[in-house]
Amino acid sequence: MRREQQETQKRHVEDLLSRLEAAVSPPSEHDLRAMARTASSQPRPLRRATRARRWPLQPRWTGLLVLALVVAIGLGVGLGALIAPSGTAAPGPIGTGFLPDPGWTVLQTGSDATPERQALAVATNVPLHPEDSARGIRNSSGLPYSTLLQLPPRGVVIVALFTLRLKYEPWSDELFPEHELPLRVRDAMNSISYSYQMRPERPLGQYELRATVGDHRIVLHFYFGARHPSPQLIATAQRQLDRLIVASASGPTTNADRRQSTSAAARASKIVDRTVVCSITPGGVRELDVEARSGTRDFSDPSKWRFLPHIGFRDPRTSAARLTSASMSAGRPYIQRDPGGSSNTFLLGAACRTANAGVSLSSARLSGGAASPVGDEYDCVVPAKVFVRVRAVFRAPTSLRRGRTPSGGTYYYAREDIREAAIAISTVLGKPIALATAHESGRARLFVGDTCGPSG
Amino acid sequence: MPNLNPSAERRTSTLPSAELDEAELVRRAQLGSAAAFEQLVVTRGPSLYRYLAVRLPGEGDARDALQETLIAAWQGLPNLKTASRFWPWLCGIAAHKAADITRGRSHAALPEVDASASDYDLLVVRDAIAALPEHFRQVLLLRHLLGLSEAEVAEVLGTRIGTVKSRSARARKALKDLL
Repeated sequence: MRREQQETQKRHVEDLLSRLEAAVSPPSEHDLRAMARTASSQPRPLRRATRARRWPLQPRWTGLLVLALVVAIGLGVGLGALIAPSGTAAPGPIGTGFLPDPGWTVLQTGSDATPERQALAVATNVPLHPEDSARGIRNSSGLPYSTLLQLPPRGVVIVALFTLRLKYEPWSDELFPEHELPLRVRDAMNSISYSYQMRPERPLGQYELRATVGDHRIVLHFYFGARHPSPQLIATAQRQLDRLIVASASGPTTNADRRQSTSAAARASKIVDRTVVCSITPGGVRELDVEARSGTRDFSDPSKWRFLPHIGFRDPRTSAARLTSASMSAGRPYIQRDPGGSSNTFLLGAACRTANAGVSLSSARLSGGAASPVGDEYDCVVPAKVFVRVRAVFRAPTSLRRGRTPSGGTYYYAREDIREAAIAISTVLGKPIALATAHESGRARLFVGDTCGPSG
Repeated sequence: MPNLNPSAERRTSTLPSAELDEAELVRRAQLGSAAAFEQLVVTRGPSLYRYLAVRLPGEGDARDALQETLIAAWQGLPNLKTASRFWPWLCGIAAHKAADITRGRSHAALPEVDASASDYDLLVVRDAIAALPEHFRQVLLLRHLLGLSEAEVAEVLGTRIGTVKSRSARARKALKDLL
């Protein structure tokens, strides 16, 4: 009887909760994807080093072991010098391929790809099976099949196929996204879903990466001896991938060349995320102004913004030569970026110094909500120093430039369109003071702590 | 066998990601695939958001908590040992984020009432859930809203299964009394 009552009660609660759940409309798929992208743009913390295990042998046995190793290595080196043939290394691959990392074997066509013929390169950190060595790369599809069948758990094989990019291949552009060297193993996708398992009885980890580098299409197949490769094994593969060479019309390109020639581009990023510590000008109570304004559509052309969503903060008492402020506007297309007419989308005064601090972009312990289209502004009473985190997600990679006002104040700025912007301010002890966010959809939000009040 | 046949490439590469099982997506996300993580969020995000929206006072809080949950999940994924335990693990993060926000607002008034909700009964239920003690509310929502098993709820909350069972029963009774 009691059990029946419990079951009825349970069903009733479940019914209520499911109705309640149905009444909540979740964010759209677009919003969820944006949130996922925001999350995945955050750096992952480095893993904490594991504590070293205690050495299992007693000191005297350790000493004997070390001695034996030294003798063995000495004998090995001497014997190796006697039997090894002398010679010089090849000057490096011609065209496209791999420069072998120490301990790796490379087999490659050694010529550049042409529209009629692909170039192949195979790199492996285990000895090639004699059958694969004997067959050579020209007489195979590039797959060292026998080596793969016997690949040990710590073994890695990378197969690279290069073709020349043709001018009109729109379908191919989708499949081969533009990349710059070095390519990253971590961008590879598990290819089992798309092909077959090479060694079903002891499955290999099979991954695939497609990229366009310069005028080449590249397909990279990674085969790991373990189905789920360890971070160490991935790092091993990455070291070899770092030595990938792709020829171009202007000659072979290595990572080092690429780094030099595109150092400015390498600095460009879609995300600018800086945390700074700002000293607030003294004079009675120390104050900071924070503001946010939602976007306003143009009445004659609603597809455009008359005023973009905007957020900012500033120290009201700071001198013109010492800029303690930041402001950002998100969205496009626009008629006017801000009432002042500046073409900057991002501005951060240089008076604040870079800080190594964690400031959360969260409204926890703050109150507020959507900002009005005419703008909301709050004065916050703050301590002598505050942390300010400024984060902007740009539409395209951009780099900050340094500017100077007529009165000598320096600032960093950018003019690329912004998708999302956020400014979070906290005390150095971590108590949140304010959070302002703006989104290209036009929404701006402002949250403030209990030391803030409306400007008036 | 690597194949550069354009038609074959096109066919194989456009397989919908949804066909991949969750564990595989988790493993890819652990390796750093933002696309796989995005797919996981699209699949699991709505349920997680509904849980947070019921648990927290306002829509803004639920969105913030979801964003914080996703950031924590992305950063913590490499430490997740069993890919198949992803969902309870993610629920655990969300539960803790929601608890952090609730704790920070211990003196807050009643939750915001959703003005767009037409069903008055649902508003009453929502208020009743908000009035439950925290440990009852947690068990109730994790168990019945997110569909976790008793063992999974115990793992998320760091308690024993017996505790979850008793709290679950008492929470249901308390909710019935409040209604």
